[in-house]
Amino acid sequence: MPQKKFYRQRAHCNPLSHNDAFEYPLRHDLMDWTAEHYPAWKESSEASRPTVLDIGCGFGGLTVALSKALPNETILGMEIRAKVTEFVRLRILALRKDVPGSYQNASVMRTNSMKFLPNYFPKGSLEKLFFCFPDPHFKRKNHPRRIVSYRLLSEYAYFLKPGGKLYAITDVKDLHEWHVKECDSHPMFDRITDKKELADDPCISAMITETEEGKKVARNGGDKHYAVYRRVPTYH
Amino acid sequence: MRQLIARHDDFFIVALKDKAYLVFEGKGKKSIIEFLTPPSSQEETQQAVVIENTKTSSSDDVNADANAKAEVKVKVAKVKNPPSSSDEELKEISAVAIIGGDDKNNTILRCAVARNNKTLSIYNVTTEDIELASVSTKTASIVYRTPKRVSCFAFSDLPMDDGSSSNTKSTLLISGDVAGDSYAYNLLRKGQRLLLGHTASMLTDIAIVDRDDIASFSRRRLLLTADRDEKIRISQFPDSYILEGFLLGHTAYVTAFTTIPSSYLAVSCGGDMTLRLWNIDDKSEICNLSTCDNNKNEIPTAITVSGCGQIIAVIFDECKRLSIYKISHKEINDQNSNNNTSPSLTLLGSVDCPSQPLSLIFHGKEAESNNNDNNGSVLTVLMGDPNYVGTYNIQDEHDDDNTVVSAISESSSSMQELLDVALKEEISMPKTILEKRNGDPILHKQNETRGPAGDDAPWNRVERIEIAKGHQKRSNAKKAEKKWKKRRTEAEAKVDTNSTVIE
Repeated sequence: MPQKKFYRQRAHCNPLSHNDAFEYPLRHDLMDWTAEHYPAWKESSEASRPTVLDIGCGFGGLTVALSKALPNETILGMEIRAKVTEFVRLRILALRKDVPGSYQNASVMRTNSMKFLPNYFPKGSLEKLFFCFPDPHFKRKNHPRRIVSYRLLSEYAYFLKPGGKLYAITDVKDLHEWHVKECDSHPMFDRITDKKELADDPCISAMITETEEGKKVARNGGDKHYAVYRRVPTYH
Repeated sequence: MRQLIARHDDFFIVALKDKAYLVFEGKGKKSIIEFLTPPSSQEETQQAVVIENTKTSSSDDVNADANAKAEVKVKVAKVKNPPSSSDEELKEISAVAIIGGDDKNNTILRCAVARNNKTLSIYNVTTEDIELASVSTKTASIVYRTPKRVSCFAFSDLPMDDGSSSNTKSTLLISGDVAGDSYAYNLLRKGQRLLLGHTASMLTDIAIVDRDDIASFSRRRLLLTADRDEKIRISQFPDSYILEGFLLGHTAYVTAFTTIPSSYLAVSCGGDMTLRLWNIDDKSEICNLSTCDNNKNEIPTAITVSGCGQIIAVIFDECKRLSIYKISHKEINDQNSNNNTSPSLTLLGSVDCPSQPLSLIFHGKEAESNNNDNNGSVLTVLMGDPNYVGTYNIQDEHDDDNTVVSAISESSSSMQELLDVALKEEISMPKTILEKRNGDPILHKQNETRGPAGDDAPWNRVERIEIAKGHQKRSNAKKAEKKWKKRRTEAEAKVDTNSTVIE
């Protein structure tokens, strides 16, 4: 199991930069998911395509928790920082070795999800999207760098199946209000307020307690605010 | 990217550096109208300052007001906007567009001009303007401030649903800007709306196309936007938050694309020096063709398609070549019920223009030419100085390759007036459409030293981890030693006290 202290990296990163050499496939059908990410999960690359995305997965707490909570889905964590991605990769490898047969459905990728999602996923292929404790980008001029915004919600709606869910949690009240405002004003998303539905969903408790950032917030006695949205089906 | 010439019927809107002109043939003689630059706030202050200096005692109310405003404005200008680039560069035109207007108020044309100083001016041209003689000028009816510089345009109608008669349409101007956002601007009164955004990826070209949806028997209007991250995104219009798909295939930034009228085809060119033919309905790439000629590798910068939909003209960056390609439909002989034709791209011929070509457009089908045996299309190319403009006749069928592209002399075209104005004002045209820094287009992505997390990545190198472990061991050892020493001294102290007690 890798040790976190060797993989520390600065938390803030500019996702709008053009000069990070990311490798990405030309089209989603040219990506082989079984080669690097899910070697022992499903037969074909298409069946191994991720259905649950943890965007900004950090040190991988939620990714591995979801792997246990959703054993039939394929989980992929996406992180833009190289060191941290390497940590999660080694963590998953260690877990796969320690618990044979488990954690084969989880993996991590270093990529910029604001730009390169279309290269990896076809239309309507995702069940769930998670945005856990994203960078708040407090300054007004940095608001376009926020991961949940009106422009990007159109893309997320394209990749989510109709009825798919989008989860956002943060400890910054300002950012939570921004998330709610952006998603409410977007015609393709409806907020889930049904208490029973929220209580039955195992992902929500995982999202609240299992992330590294969430644990830190709990240690410091902070509040967590979350919102869950459903992707509305499109009628032509 | 940066379309500097556009056409509607026989009217051309042309951008020469920072001046825009409407060129047409009216009543047998050529006419030209200049579209005036809207005054920027800096200009106003400079002019106002001049007025203040020359007319110290101004009794005119208007001037007094202007002077009072100017004083305030000058202070603001000094603090806020130190002009770093010259005024000329700021006023340079980045895109133009033209569309036929409705007949309300006798507006027959609507033109839009976007400049580098983030202004977008709309001009409504009426029949009276056309009937005035020779050179005249026109001021903008609406001027918008765009949040970022506009790089491309498209016009579209939008049926108005405000209870009025169902046939009224409002024309919208769709813009794509350098921040990756696309806004829709209202032409009748001020109002704009964000349609979509490609995050952090400059939009290089934009188009609106109507497609039939066979399943639901409806016509759908689509908005296509091309960006710097090699993607062409297809969204619905006007509900642009609904994405239809992506055309993926370019391996470098897309510089321009165009849709073939009345078909499912689109053609794009990019920094990977290829032309690609796309099927918009399937969202797939049909074929691609490299535009490299021998060992000359120039980046194609603009494409235009002829009225018949089969001839494509391409120009390049830092190269005088004009290449003509043809979309040919080859019949596939198979026994399927639907006889598929597989389109392909072929190079017909190339010619060198006298100056650096910057932008180009085909004339309409009904354009006349003085040639007798003309069954080709006429193409106008906007170039750098000293030629400014060139007109070519493109032949479809050719006996030998030389007659594919033939130049037409200027005096017969309506561009002669434009040429005269350009020579008189000694306008110096830009050298290139693509913005450059240190010789490389800024669209080009640099690969820094941060590569994928590989074995030789610095944080992954085993030595560093070993060294860190070594540090850790030493500091642990030190701490352990301190603790041990402390315990020893405490134990010794206890023994001493015990001994004193015993004694």
